[in-house]
Amino acid sequence: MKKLFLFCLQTSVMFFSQLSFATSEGFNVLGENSRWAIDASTRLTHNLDDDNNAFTHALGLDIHKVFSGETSDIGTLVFQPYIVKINNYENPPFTFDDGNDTELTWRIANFNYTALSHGQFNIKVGHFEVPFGLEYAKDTNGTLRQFTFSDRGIKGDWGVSVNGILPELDYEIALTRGSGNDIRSKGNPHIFSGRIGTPSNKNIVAGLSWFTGDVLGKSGVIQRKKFGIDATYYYYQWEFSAESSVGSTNNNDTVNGFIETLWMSPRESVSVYAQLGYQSTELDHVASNVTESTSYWLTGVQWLIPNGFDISAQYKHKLKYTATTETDSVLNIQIRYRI
Amino acid sequence: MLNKITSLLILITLHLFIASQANAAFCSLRDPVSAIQILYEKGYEYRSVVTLITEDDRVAVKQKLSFTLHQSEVGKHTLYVLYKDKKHAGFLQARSEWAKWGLVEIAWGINVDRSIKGFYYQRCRSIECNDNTIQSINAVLQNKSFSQLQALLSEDGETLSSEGQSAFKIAPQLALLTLHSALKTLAITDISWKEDIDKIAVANK
Repeated sequence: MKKLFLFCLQTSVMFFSQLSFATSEGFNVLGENSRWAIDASTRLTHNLDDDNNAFTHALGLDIHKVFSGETSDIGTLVFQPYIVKINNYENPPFTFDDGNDTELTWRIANFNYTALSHGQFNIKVGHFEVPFGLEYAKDTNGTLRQFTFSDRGIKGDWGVSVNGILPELDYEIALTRGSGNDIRSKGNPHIFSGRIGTPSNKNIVAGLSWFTGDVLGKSGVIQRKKFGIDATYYYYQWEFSAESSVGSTNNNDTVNGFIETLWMSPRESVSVYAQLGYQSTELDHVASNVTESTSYWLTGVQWLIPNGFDISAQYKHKLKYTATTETDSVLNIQIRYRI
Repeated sequence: MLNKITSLLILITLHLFIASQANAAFCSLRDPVSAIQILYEKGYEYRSVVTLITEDDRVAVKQKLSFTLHQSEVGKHTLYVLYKDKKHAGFLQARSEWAKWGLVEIAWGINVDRSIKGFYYQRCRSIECNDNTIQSINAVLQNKSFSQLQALLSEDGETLSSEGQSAFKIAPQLALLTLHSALKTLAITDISWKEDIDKIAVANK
């Protein structure tokens, strides 16, 4: 598998170096209105509770192409396949067979058909971010900084959505398979989700989201229902975000809360953020209404270096935890490079 | 080990030959749908034309103005060509400008004759960027040509001219930033998309 990973790395680099030279001479194999990049990253995950180091190496393509007619755009293709190799994970993500595995993963891979109403009513098919809360509203593709997708057990999924931008609101409503990276039918997973928000270009942005369905995970299908509200306020170099949701997991009531403060340098090359998260879950809804809760804080920094490098670090500290939930204190360091 | 070193060397060599791209993934690219709805209202279609803004283009802008695009703006950018009833009706381009507090993204509506139709802040995190300020700056810039806009700037391009000072009573610093963006946008549109614009003009004759 290691050899395969290196082979893929070298082949991709050679292929795209040829593509680049072709582009500079005016010939582009992807055609007009296209962009592409190679995205490579290495991430160290140090679990402070177990004193374990795990690694994630990712190499992927990022292709963006707009298909156009004579007088209007028809749709946009975004295609981001990644080869991801993990090493020494004690508790690997669901996509991987074990803690030392290599898999083809999909970040975003979809076609958004935009010709119906010039951006107001589009139809998207493929793999995309499940529309819910801050995770959907902000770009966290390939970054250490994430929001609340772990509450729902899924970030990206295969399916279909309607989406668009109207004068006073942005929206996306999706029906997806519920199995994440791969299309799997075990346990008949499915998710109906959506977010309706105020325009994302304003300095105050708010949204309402819902998420209902059966999500496929390591231990089989988990029934989840969420109803959430999120808000962000941008003030010069500061960004304040909050999200709250109520719902249920396998019929046990849940409450989630999340806040974040982010500061960016004037040239936006450095961003520093701090997050606080809280989850409360009923132990057994049928037997009693006893709940248990977990909470954490984390802080992170991202440094965008000119010429495509990006170095980031993040430390997550558990505040309150229980035996039934996995909330370890973790240090992450990532180096990423986009050509 | 040798394979790893070879891979690393290939990556570094490749990097020396290729202009780097922005750090953000392309899924974060968004069409300026809100700006089109506000600046062009209903009944308009748009078509994307992506081109590569080169270092030579930056130099060419510098020859037309006393300032130019930031280095980070070299790369692929989109010009949106607007149509109404299948006839060419204008352009829209989003450009970024650095303010003291970070990036300001401005979507520019451009008339067929390359005068300014209007603008819309796609991202401006100052409390000054409110509807009143936008309206007052828009009122000055609307339908002005490149040379008329230049007259609002001092000769070195760093401050407002006396004409500019009297025109922009509200938020003069933000107006100066917006004026810089307008001039750069018109200049780079004519330079980097020249061939595309010529083709559109021929098709609409």
